[in-house]
Amino acid sequence: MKIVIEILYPEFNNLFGDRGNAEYLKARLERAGREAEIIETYMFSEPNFVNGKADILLIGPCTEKSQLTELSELKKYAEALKSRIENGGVTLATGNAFELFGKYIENPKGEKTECLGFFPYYAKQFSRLRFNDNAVGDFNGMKITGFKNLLSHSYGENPYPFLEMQKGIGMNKETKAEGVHKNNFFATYHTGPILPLNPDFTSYLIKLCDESFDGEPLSFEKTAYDMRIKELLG
Amino acid sequence: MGKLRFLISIIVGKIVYAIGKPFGKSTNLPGIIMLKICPDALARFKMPEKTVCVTGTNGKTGTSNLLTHIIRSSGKTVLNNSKGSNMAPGLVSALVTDSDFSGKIKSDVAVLEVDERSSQFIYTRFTPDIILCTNLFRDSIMRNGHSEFIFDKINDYLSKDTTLVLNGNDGISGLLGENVCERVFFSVERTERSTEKCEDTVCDLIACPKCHKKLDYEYYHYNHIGRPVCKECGFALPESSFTATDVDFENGTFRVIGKNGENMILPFQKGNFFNVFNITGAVAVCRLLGVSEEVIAGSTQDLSSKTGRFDDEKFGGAEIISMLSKNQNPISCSQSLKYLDGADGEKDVVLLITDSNDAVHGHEDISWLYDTDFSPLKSESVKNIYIGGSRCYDTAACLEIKGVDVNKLKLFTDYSHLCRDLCENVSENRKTVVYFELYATRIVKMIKENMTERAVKIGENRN
Repeated sequence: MKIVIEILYPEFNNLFGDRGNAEYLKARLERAGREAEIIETYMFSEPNFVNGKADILLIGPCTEKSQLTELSELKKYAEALKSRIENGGVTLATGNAFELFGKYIENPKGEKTECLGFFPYYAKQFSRLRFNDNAVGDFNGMKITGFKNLLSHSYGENPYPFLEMQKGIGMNKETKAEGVHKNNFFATYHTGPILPLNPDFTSYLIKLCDESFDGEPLSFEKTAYDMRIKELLG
Repeated sequence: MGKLRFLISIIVGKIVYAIGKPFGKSTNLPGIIMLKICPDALARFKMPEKTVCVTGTNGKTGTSNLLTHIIRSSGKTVLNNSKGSNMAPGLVSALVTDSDFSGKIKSDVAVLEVDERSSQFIYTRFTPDIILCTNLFRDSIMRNGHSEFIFDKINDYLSKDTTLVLNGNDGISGLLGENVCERVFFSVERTERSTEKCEDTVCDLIACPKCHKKLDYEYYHYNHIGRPVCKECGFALPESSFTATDVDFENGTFRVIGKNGENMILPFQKGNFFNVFNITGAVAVCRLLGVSEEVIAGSTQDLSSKTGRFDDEKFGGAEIISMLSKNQNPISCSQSLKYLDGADGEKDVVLLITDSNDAVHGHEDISWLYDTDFSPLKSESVKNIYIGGSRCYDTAACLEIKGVDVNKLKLFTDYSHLCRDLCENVSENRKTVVYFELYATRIVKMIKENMTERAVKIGENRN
């Protein structure tokens, strides 16, 4: 079986080495003797997932301005995205793509842009200073590590948190709850190559598409992961 | 009261400079202390007749040094901050060394390199006559976020009284000051090495900045630097007033044609194409300042031999080439790796590119490695790849994903072990190319010391 990995809007959503996620998935699948294909969907063309032709959908972070363009475009596919989430389509949204699925985004001037509204949280952008974080969180006993580079935090209710943070902040500084996990939909504020940083979570994600997958990690990322967890948790 | 504070701060600044100089503490410290005494000190200096600021992601230092050199050759005195930092305290430190006790700058012209993120603290204090922006790219993630964030940081603080000199091949920085400032563009025309497609790992401008549709490029020089044109909405950058043509890579020369009839053949440092952009930008500024063509052409003739951040040394029979790769900057790192494609013979490569002060600076965000083009390491001619530092496993994981042969990799979390192994196995039949980030300069020194010892020992054995 061939696994199709769709990268949504790579012309905007590749700010922090995010493409590494798709490349790692492909490398892992191919190492295990599976076939994998990366499809890049540019804005203003119909995404593959709309017709159910994406096994794994990746949505990366973008700039605060292009986020608004992306949002107006994604609203056209809101129903397809909603049913993908309800039907267990494997989806990973990273960085500020997490915000697209909440209620709204408020800019520093107080202007609000309505989001997809699948979940009840909302985002507030702050001006000028960016927020960086090196973090570790728990997902069903699995430690997930990652980086953050953000110009916003999210607030409000979050009934389906993905991670319980052990180091670093949740979706804002006051909470340890981070991201969203519902069925096979994962959204997290972590940016960049989160999958190569977390080889076990990657195996878990692939298994959600193909239960029979039993591929091993490549040569080095497990050691890198162990060192990072040890350093960050002390 | 403000004036008194300023006068006191000048006296203190000059004293701190005099005391700090022998200890190498004179380039930043006077400014830090002066800004404590007088927070608006930058606004109170009586700036010279002309002030030029140089900003942008890559090429600031090279361009401002070049500008200083050319303007000085025209007989004017120039103040610059080349020895210090490019943030507010560095500028204040540079200014106080050149000012009298009333705060009047003595030099005719100030050429100040300005950190992109410091615009808010600098352009709000004084209005530069000219700001040259070399380019805008993705840079260190933790400091710079993304290029749009940096664009806004500069754009929000521009004055209508400043003339902008902009890179007409850069669709990001080329939009600075639109409808606000007078803008003069410089660009490099298509060369024999221009490509139809972007051949680099990252391109920071794929979608049209105006209509967000996919942008077309008539050609690319590198990354998003080229000739962007939008077939959907017609977006293109304005015509350039200074254009580099006839780039001769073999002989290291090119021609600059100006709108007012300028026509000069100038040399550039061979193998360093960025130099062509830096020189053309500097020519544009110099012409705006009234420097003659003769002075420009005459003063740039001796620059082609300067090597900058590239160093080639022999230790006995072992050749070590070291190249600085700007910290956490995927564009800089990718460009320096390209050197391997052009270099003859077999090579060993040493990667000291992740933060060697990771323990002090805090755990490094290694995301940038995935934006770096490591394909030159796939070449058959690259035999061993040494990777050093606490993030060596992260680098190796990235290289494996990108298809580099893992059998070539040698990993060392401890730099001294790396040095020892390298010295034991260095071959006189291969070049060793060391890529290092700024803080790893000490490791390069360690490698060279080990290599010197090795060469001495071999020499003794031969005798």
